Amino acid sequence: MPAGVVFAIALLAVASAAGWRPGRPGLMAVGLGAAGGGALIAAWLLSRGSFGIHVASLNAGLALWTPVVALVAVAEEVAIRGALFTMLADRYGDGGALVATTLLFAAIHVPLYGVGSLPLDLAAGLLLGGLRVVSRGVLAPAIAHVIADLAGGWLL
Amino acid sequence: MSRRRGWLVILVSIVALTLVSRFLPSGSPPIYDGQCIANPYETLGGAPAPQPATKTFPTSKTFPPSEVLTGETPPQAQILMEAATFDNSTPVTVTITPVPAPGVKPPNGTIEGNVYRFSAVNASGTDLEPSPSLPVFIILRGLTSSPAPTIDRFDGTSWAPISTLNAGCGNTFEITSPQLGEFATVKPGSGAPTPQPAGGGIPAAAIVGGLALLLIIAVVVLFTLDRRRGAAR
Repeated sequence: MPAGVVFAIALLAVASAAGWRPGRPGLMAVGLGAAGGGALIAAWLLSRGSFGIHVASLNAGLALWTPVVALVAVAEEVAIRGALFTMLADRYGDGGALVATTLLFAAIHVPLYGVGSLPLDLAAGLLLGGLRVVSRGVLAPAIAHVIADLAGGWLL
Repeated sequence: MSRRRGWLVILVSIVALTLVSRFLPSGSPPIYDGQCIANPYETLGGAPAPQPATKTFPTSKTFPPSEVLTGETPPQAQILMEAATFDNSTPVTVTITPVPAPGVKPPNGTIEGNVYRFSAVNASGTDLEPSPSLPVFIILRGLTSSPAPTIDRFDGTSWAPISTLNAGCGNTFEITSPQLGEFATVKPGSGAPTPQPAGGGIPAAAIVGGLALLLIIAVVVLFTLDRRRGAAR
């Protein structure tokens, strides 16, 4: 858990050093993010073969886990689809930035989940990248990413 | 890239997500990540011993959606049940117990980790099974995720593999089952039973090393691009 916090702070520091600054939040981005998170949860339910879910009961572990996971998800989005996407887009256009950040997003999950995670994380990365392009900011993919990650702990 | 093309990307990605999720091979990982705390696997007969779990549900009009899980981190065995899974007109006790592996070997590989017995009984001690339309979710922790193990069910005479999903943290795997009984994770392939070492999964050092390497690459790329951008101005 502390490693997650350190990782997130390091990502945010790198993004900040690279000149990334938050933009003005918009309602459209919030809505897009929520819809994107819903799509990611729907895909997860589909993979389970059952749409029956219930919410986990609160416990100390989950209470600590939740802000850390949210922080890591936001930091990944700020670094990958915030700072890096903007820099790559300046040079290679949105298309090049989308491809590169999608590949990087899938790659950073391999150490934890193995090579088998690549197809799913490539698709998820593409969705988050699409949200970045449409919303012109990092808020929508960050919201979608946080929703999807938290669902893994809160929805059973 | 125009917003219109961005919408197209979203559409394509949703189709891809749906297809990948639907046709994911057995043992594939979840989409979700998060910070995983995984203590060493506790093997039956070892110290510390793996923990059983039991929970009694008092009489209720409808059996509640609930979970029972063992006390390790992450739990080595869990059962998730939807509302009305059992007849709850009398108290229902759901129990998870690590038990010795039966003499019969699974047809699809070797058992790794413990065998867990999942049972539910009513007040008079009669064994209960889930409602036919409400299979339970069984989640077991394995020792490795590559090659992806399956979860097998032992019916008293033989083992049968069940379609298995990777549930993420600490080599945990998930199935849905219409029946309770004995379950274990089975490493694919034949041969002698594998030893059951403590711990499992990718070493933390490899994870930290991989993330550190990616971070260094990201820093180098970011600063290189920033310098080039500055020079171009």
